Amino acid sequence: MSVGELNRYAFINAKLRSRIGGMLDDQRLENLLRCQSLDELFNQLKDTPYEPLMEIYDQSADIQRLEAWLFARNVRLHLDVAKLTDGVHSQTVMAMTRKLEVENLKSVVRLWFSNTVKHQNIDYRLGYLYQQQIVSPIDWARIANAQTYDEIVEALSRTPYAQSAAAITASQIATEGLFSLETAFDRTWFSMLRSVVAQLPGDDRKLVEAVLDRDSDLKNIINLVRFGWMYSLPGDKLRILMLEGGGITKTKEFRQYLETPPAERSPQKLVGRRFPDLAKELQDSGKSTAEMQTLVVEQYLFRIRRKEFHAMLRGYPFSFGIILTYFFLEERQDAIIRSLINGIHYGWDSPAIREFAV
Amino acid sequence: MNVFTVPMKLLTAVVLDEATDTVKKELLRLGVLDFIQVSRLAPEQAARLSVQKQQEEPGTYSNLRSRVETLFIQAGRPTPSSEKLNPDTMKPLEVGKAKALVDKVVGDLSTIREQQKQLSQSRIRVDELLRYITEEKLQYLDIRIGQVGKGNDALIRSRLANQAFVLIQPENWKDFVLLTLKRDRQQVSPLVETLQWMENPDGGLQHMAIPLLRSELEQQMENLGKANAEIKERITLRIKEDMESLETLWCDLRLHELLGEIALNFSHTRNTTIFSGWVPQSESSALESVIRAAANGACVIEWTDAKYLPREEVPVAVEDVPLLRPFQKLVDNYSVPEYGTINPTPFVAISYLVMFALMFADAGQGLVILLLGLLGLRNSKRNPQLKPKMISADMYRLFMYLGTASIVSGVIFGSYFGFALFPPLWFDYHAAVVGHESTGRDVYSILTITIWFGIVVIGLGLALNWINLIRKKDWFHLLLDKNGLVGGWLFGCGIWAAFAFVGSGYKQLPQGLFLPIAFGFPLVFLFAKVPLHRHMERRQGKEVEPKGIGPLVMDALLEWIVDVLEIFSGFLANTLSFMRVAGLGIAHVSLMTAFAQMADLAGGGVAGIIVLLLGNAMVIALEGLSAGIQALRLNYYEFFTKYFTGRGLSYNPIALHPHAGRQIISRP
Repeated sequence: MSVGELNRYAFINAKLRSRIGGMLDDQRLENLLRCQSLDELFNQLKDTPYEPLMEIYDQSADIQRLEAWLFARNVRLHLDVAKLTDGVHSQTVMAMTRKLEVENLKSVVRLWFSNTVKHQNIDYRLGYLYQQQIVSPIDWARIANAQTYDEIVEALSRTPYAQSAAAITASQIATEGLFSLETAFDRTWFSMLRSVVAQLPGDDRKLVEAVLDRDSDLKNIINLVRFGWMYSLPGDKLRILMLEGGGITKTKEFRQYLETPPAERSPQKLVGRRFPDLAKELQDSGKSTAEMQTLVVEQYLFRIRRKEFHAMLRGYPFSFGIILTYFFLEERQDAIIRSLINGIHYGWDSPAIREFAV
Repeated sequence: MNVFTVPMKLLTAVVLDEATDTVKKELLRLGVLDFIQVSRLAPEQAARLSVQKQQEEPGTYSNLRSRVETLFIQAGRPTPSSEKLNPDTMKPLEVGKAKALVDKVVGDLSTIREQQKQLSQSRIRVDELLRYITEEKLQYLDIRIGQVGKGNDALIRSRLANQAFVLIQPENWKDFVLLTLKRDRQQVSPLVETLQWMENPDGGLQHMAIPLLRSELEQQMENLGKANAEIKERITLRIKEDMESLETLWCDLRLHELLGEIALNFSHTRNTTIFSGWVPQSESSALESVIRAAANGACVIEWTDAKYLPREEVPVAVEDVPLLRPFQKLVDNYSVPEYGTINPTPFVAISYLVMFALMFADAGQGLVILLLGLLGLRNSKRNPQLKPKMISADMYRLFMYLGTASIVSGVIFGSYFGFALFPPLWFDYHAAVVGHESTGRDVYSILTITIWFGIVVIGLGLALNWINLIRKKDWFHLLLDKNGLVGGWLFGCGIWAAFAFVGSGYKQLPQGLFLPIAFGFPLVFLFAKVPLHRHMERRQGKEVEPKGIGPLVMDALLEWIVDVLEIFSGFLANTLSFMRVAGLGIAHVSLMTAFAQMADLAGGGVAGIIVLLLGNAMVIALEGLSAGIQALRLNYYEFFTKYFTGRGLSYNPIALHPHAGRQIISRP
């Protein structure tokens, strides 16, 4: 353990661990799952970090406002952690925060697309969108109100997303939709994150890169299954979608998968050598739909990440692992709350909510 | 006042099945029995006993009660107090009907909430338009000024109902002003055209329209706010409509929940019900009378004294002394004392107050803390429905005690808001800290006082431990534990040697044979701890791992080294830890002196007074908090560790009042 690591992580480690300790425990989750109305849910969330939801619901009864608050909270938590770090560590946290920025950017572009290209009324929906600066200075209102796609490119000209936006034309958007643009934003974010992570010192770099490699592999597999199998995308287009890093794109199975006609592509063969457990799970899921296969991979990814982050929590405390774990657990907790809100609001039964939430 | 935990008795009772319901209600009403399962007392009989199956799933009543409580919160009404719970007026509860009542109210509220949601979405629309107008982002807006050839303003509004828009017709204008979002142009333009909109070519009108539109939008926002408030009022009214039924339901649910808990502890034979539980000795005769009356005398009651059962199985209650409640909370926060041992509360009250007073000796600032406590307590008494967030009524009481302690020590040491306004009763603390030799005391004198204080506290802790061990008849630990007699003797000798060393000008330890003998004998004696412990365990019939002489000597040696290190370094560290009391006291004086000098530098007058006011406020807040925490720390780590094992089991009777528990009101 170096003095530098100790200095850097002693405070943040204590702070984040105390926040992790204050997260909703199993007993509380059980109580939440028993709630039958949103008022009951928010009553149970009193004295937790989610207490403001009660006030928002009381003032509006609007669950989209609640989701907007959850998103804003997530942004705030990321920026808080960035403030607790410095130098390249802070830049790494900011690069991770860009994931939220990209999600917000995709949402606002979707609104624009609905309004301008599909001529749908987006009405009050812009009101739920996060409109403050996240990392880059983006004028969200300008994008939502853009008359043409070129105005969006112009609005993003001083951000890292300028190149991705400029590489796509208005006519492409009109004919093919937003798929290419959205995946380009994702790749831009991931590429920026990787380049910042490469500057982290020794053990931190190894740790974060290992996590990102695993994420790249599994997200690439998800894309290969979803778009290569479900939507029959040709090999050259699939290759563009791949996130950098990881090992799956360097394998012969990957090359074979791209070369195989879409109808004959086999996800099991793709992952068989590198992720035998996943291949078995895909095999066991039988002749299920591509959606189900995607879900299997997503659940596998979630389990892997949960295992990794819990191991980090128990392991060496003075590393970037505590930050990764904290974000993972917060994200998971937010997802549970979101499922509960939606489940109760739309009248799902308790087992269905449990399936999504826990 | 009893300084030990309250003596307990174990009740075992058998009643006829037909009396069970009456007995349950009476037990609940009295609320003194901490139940234990009969099968735990007589496991060999457990198979012959049965537990009555509950009518409802576990948690049904509490879940429903929690739903009702949520409705109370929404209506801004407190949960009914436990005084409203009356087992005699309890009605049989039909869960289906109860659920239907709650579902009906919740369903009606959902309908109102849906309207509230639509209002919220309207607010978003208006808010966006208002924001663009206010921020002069007119490029996102379309302002049309003109007249319609067909229809009227009502028709325009109905056509644009799904858009964000504002339509006004200013006074003395023939034209309408229509504000919409530019991005909606493709939907709005065809709608407007069908009304044969004729645009006024006068471009200057647009500038005149903007302030009017802004004012209209602000008015709309205000109206929407009012409408939302009305909806919230409707929610409250809807709940209040059924408030009486809901309150009755809440009481019934709570009673069924509590009676269900009692029933879970009842075991049954074919015709009888058997139950068992702990009760404070002072309550035993009242409890017996109640059971006999409820069972019409057809019962068998057997009492077992706590001394016949393992100490760790006996729940612990302590006498409730209202004056000491804030300190009882400090003890509760730490742990529960073992049954039959000393309740630390009265000792904590004294040591905590003395420690705080030594660290925060200022009569003026103490008065402020006392007044804060009084005001807070008055406020919490006036608004009992307000749930305390951070500071409870007991905390305010603690403020009052601490303030009074500071006043007393401030008078003793002559400090009033950092100034020596009156002569001290003992010595001038400020003068001693800043080095005025006239007092005959200096910083070392203060350190010495606090070390002596620490020795007294640790010594008291050891004495309390010995009393506890004697009551537990734990002679082994009384003699050989580090906090036992050997440890105490070594501590005493260490103090004597240390003061003799200081007395010699830090030159030599006491001469002669006494010191080597005083240290030597106990240390040799301590070496016998491991073999003696093995011998005692063997005599008690416990299984002891067989060991040869070599491993046994090594065990004894290792244990001895650890004990010696713990005794010497532990007691030394514990004693020196009390120097923090002096440290904080000195810091307090230094800070006040610094603020007095800053006030002088500010030239006195109003500026000086402001500096002094801010300085005093800062010292009260920060130093007060710091002294409070350090006093707590010294109690928890230096005092409690000497005698308070915290291995007790809390006394939790099933009672109507939710806070019935460890503290009991002693009956004459």
